[in-house]
Amino acid sequence: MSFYADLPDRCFWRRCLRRPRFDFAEIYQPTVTIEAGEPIATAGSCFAQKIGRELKRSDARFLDLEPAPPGMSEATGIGFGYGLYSARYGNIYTTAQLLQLAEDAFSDHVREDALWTKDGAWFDGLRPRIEPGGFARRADVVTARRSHLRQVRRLFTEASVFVFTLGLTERWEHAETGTVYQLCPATVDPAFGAPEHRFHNTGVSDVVSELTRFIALVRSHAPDLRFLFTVSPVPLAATATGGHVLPATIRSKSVLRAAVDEVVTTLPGCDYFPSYEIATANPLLRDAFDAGQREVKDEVVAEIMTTFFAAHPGLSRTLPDTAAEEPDTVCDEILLDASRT
Amino acid sequence: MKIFVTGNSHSACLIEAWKQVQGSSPHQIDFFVRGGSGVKDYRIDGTRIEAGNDDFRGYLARLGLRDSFDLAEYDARVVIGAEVSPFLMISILNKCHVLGWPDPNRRGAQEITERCLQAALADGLRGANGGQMVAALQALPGLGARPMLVVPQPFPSERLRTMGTAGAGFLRTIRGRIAPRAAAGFADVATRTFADLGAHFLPQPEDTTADFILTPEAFTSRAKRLIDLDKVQPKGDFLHANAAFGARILNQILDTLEA
Repeated sequence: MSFYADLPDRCFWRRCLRRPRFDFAEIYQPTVTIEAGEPIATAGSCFAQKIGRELKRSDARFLDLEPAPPGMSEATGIGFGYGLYSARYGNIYTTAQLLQLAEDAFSDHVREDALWTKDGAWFDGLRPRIEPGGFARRADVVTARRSHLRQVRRLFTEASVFVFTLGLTERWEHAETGTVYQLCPATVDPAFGAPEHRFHNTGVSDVVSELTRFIALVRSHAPDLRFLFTVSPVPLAATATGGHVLPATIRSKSVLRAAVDEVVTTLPGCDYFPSYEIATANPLLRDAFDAGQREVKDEVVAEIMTTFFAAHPGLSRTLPDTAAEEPDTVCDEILLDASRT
Repeated sequence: MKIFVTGNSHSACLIEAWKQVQGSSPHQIDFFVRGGSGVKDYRIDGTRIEAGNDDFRGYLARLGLRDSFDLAEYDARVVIGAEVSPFLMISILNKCHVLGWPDPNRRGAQEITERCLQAALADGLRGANGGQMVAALQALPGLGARPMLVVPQPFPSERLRTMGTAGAGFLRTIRGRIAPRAAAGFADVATRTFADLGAHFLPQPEDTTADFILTPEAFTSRAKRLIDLDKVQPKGDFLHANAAFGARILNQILDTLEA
């Protein structure tokens, strides 16, 4: 008898095609389960904002350790980096950024090469877009960063599950110090560029190493913390490799997907949710993106999150008010494209 | 001059003051008020505003006030209190520390910039019932050019210095030597926010303040209740001002309109 004879229908492409929704009911069997009331934290590339928004509507306890000041509207708050994630770190596109954030948080380290200035204002180079107009004084950006790192420490130690969406392999770093930036500094503003800034495109082993070190570091402070990873289906806005953006996108996502697979199959308490596959390789859905072909359509996000919540029966979800307008996703990466227009 | 006033319980001091001069005043003031956060159950039809349900009509009747007004007949409109309040500023300062302000951040509060503080406060003012009322009244057809004034809830009574936990945020600004910044910042943001809505904000007169962010007892003792102007506020009240304060506000309103 063939080994395949006893496998469930979900293992076969043709049988999945015959079943409703390509049998997505069985695409995700979580090993990291989430129950109502469990404190959850999110971070990652811009697609993670959509996941976070849905988790906020559930009866999980979505941690927001740097909430907007009382009275501030959601729209204004987003401009100041509030309400996007569980702390005000902005988009974290790479695993190197994530590891660096955890290292800085647990060592209370403020990186001198990420204190940028322009026209008398100061900016936090690791989250340059959280303060429109910048900080008035150098001391202020240092104080704000220390305050932020304090909350990030709290986040890792208070969360029960940390949800991270991997977005990019292409990154910009400081050649001497190794500091990793959110974006190409000169793209954020030409004044922030420096000769020491260099491009690096991470490989699978780097991503595996960074994720593994991140998990080990955080677990040395929060041994019970569990991790749920996703890969963003959003294509690269631009590649710095000089090649075509399409293979650069597939290369980047493939590296991230392969690295995550290695991590979740080797480390306990780590899981993967296939939002990337549902959006990009769903044979029933040939058009997952909006007119710009980068933003995942709302109905696809809904499909993804329906699949997610169906796999977590301990969680209830409040469906969004269809008349209410969703806030736009904050995508800093779009600056890479804007720099040419 | 015919003036339309809408607001919440902080209208009481103005009503009291108005009653004392009404007989000899060349002006007319009509009140459309409700306790709590202010008037919410109202209907607008053209330039007419009226109570939106029997409950509110009954409330106004008990106060001896009309429940329907054609604002085309009024020279000016005034919004008083209705969540336009220095408490908005204090609620932010209770949660956050402003970078560059001199008070030490001993509580480990979240650090925010002054620009962030101003943005939050402006949103709070626009979202307050008073802010929404200003926007609604400014949208009435043909009345946009007529003056619209906004009078904030007064700073709390200095009586709270002797109270347990009430108003701790106000006292903290005094101890931290940031009360002048907090008071000036509130007035500055409110002035700009309401100017954007086409209204003129009237900051609390300096000589009715103590330590920049409190109101002296002389302006708060024996404050009356809106729901029953024959009764004074309960003993523990530190929010409301009295007829003497109302007289100052009335003069401030008339001086501004006549200027």
